[in-house]
Amino acid sequence: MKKTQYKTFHETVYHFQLQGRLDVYLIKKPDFSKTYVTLSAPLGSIHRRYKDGEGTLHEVPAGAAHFLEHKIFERDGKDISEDFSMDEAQINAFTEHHRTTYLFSATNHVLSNVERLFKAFFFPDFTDKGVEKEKNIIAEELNMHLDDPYYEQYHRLMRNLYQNHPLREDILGTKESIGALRKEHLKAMHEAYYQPEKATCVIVGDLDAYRVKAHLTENAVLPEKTFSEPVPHFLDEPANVQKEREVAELDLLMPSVLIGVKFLPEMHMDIKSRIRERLSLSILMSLLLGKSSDVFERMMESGVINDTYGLDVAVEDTYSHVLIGTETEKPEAFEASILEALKKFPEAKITDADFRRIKNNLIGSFIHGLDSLEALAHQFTEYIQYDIVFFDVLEIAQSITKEEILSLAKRLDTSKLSRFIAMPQTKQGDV
Amino acid sequence: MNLTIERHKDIAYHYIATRQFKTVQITLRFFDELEEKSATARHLMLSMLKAKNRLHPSRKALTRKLEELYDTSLSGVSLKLGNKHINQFGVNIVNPSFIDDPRFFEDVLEILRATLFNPRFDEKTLEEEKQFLKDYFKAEYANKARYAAKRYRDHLFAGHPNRINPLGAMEHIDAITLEEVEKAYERMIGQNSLLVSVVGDFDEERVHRRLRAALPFETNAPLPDDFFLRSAFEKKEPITETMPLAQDRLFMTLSSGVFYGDEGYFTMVVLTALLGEGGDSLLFRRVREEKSLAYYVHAQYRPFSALVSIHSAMKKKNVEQAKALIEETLEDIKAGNFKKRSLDLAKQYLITSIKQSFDSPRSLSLIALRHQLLSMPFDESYMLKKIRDVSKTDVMETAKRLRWIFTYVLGSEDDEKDAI
Repeated sequence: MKKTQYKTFHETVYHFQLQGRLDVYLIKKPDFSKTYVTLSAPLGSIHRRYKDGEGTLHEVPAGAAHFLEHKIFERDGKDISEDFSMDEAQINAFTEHHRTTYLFSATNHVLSNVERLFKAFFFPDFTDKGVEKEKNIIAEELNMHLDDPYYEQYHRLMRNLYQNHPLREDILGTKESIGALRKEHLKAMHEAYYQPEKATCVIVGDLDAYRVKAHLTENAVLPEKTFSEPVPHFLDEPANVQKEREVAELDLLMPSVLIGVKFLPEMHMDIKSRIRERLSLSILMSLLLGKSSDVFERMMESGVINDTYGLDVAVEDTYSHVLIGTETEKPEAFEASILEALKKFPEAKITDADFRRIKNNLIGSFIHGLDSLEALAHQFTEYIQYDIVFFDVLEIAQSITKEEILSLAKRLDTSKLSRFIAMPQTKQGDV
Repeated sequence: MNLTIERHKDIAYHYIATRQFKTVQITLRFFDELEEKSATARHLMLSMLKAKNRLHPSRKALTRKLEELYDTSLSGVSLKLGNKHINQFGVNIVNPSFIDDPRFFEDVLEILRATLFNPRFDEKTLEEEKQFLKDYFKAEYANKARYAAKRYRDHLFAGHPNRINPLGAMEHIDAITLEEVEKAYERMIGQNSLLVSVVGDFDEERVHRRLRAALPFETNAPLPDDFFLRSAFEKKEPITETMPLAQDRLFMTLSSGVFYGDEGYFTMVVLTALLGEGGDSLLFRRVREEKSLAYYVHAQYRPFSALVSIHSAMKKKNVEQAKALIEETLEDIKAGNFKKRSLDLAKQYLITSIKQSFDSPRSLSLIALRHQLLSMPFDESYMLKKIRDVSKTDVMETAKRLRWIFTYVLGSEDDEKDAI
């Protein structure tokens, strides 16, 4: 058992391996009545391929990761969420592009619920009947999103921003791919990606780590090693975007603009440098396009944006982009403002006061995040895949210098971008 | 954790001291009567207060100050509680013990003081906020799930005070003048009932002293004690509206006659959970898991109007089947045709939720508010006992008193946009 104390934040992290195979982390949270537990597999919507025990490559239909997530809590054709509920736990799960996470929050019987979660996660019980029945439910989930023009806008922008990357596809898949999925696909993907060596368990709550380790060592059952293997997503994504600009009429009353700036991930960098680059990009974007920036103020003053304006920075292993969006009656003026601001990045000036302010904000937002057991578990899982403990991230962020940010502003290529303008539909009789 | 209630004249101060959190949350809630035109003015006034003030004369200046103060968040929202309108302001800060700056807490209080006592009301900011509010109402149309819920509420509450949106109404926005905003402000600061709440790890006496010094409220009215709009809901004819949609949105409504804190209140809470809250509820099991008709189905008890709303979404061709299944499920509850395990699961769901609510600063502040205004004890074990004490007979008898009063469907002409 490794125990690490982070005295600045009054946090303690325990780490142990179960049977030398599954990493378990416990973040101690005194005085909380609930415990939040996550168990994640490195299977996201972008993963479609695996190698079987004989080394043959296979590909499954889109939406397999999400479909699998729907079926994990089923046993003998029945949903086992009741068993968690009776033991004071509420379960859930979600699929992202890179990962699938199963979770529960419990106010009692945490260890028996962890055992139950391990059992569901490592020993699923897929049936043909269960898979067929689920297709209608997932179709309704897909239908639900079809009625949301902002969801459509995001997906169409992704299709324009990327040429080959699986980000172009909906996490849920398509009606055709969902229809084509079979029990065998789920089973094969599970065997390849849901191995204890590749999974991560994070427990956040007021528990005795030594008792947790002793209990799980004695009671948790892990599956035999399988011989199939995940196949990492092969990055074949050109630097250029698929389409630079698209205007489409959607069922809304006010135009909405979403701009994506695409960066190719720095694959040659070591992990620590990549984390540093990711944090630097967030700092740079906050300074130059965030809600305290001069650009924001100018757009606000001239009525180009409203309070829906937002900025999102995404940096992952196989993709990296920034999304900037707003609802606006002046879509072209918004596009022009952002394009001009991006062009001026190399000339950016950052005062010491600006830099100090953004650093303060970063420290504050980090500490705010420690009060949410959910946010803490997810952030922890995000960084631990790179062997970085979340509590060390702030130290990395604090060591970033103003000069580094200015240098990033100079070398960042912001020319690869795509814009999607959603316009209200022209009704019959409109001029 | 402890709840300490301090008073200054008619103003109540709640201090919830707990070592769980590394942040401190300060919330101020101003209560007034709920009325459509004044709600619009009050919401615009609140939006102007949180946008800028005389000390921080632009949005940028205020945002920069908040960033400098370690990601302090300043929020302002308009809410309703029964027949009352609430302007709620909040600041959420890092606990000062983590910050190596002795002036940090004073600086936070200075922002709060500037926000509430040093406003910057001008025509330009009013016009901006009017535009944002109009944009917000327009955006309600875009997300069809949200739009369907709005249409449902508009029909259900037509002619009833409950129809009032705490953000006001589109048709009143243009007419609101700066003078009306200023009057609404004077009334809020000087006359509205006020409840202040602080949650976190702090010295209560010291924080109370500093809050009193920074925010010298004196003349606010006593806290209200009547929140209920007890006017009855008449049964209404079902309404179906059409627009091009991939999924029909179905809303069904039951009238219970049981309001917050009434004798049957906890039975209604358990009954609603049994019917349609969470993945173990009867409706979720039957509509989603057994019949695969919908991705979600949910029942919500509205204790300030004594109604239960059931909401789901599905293909047009499945709407009638879903309606019949929902009605049949209620009949089964009335007849006691449900397993003890289903009732136990509903209670367990509520027990887990109640326990978890004591882990969130926001929920703790709300539990204290309900304690002060609605006489609900600030005591987890009291609530858990009340839930556990509900019997199968209680649930059956209460279910028999429920009446279907209104069904609303927003759906497509046909199933043309269906994914599968």
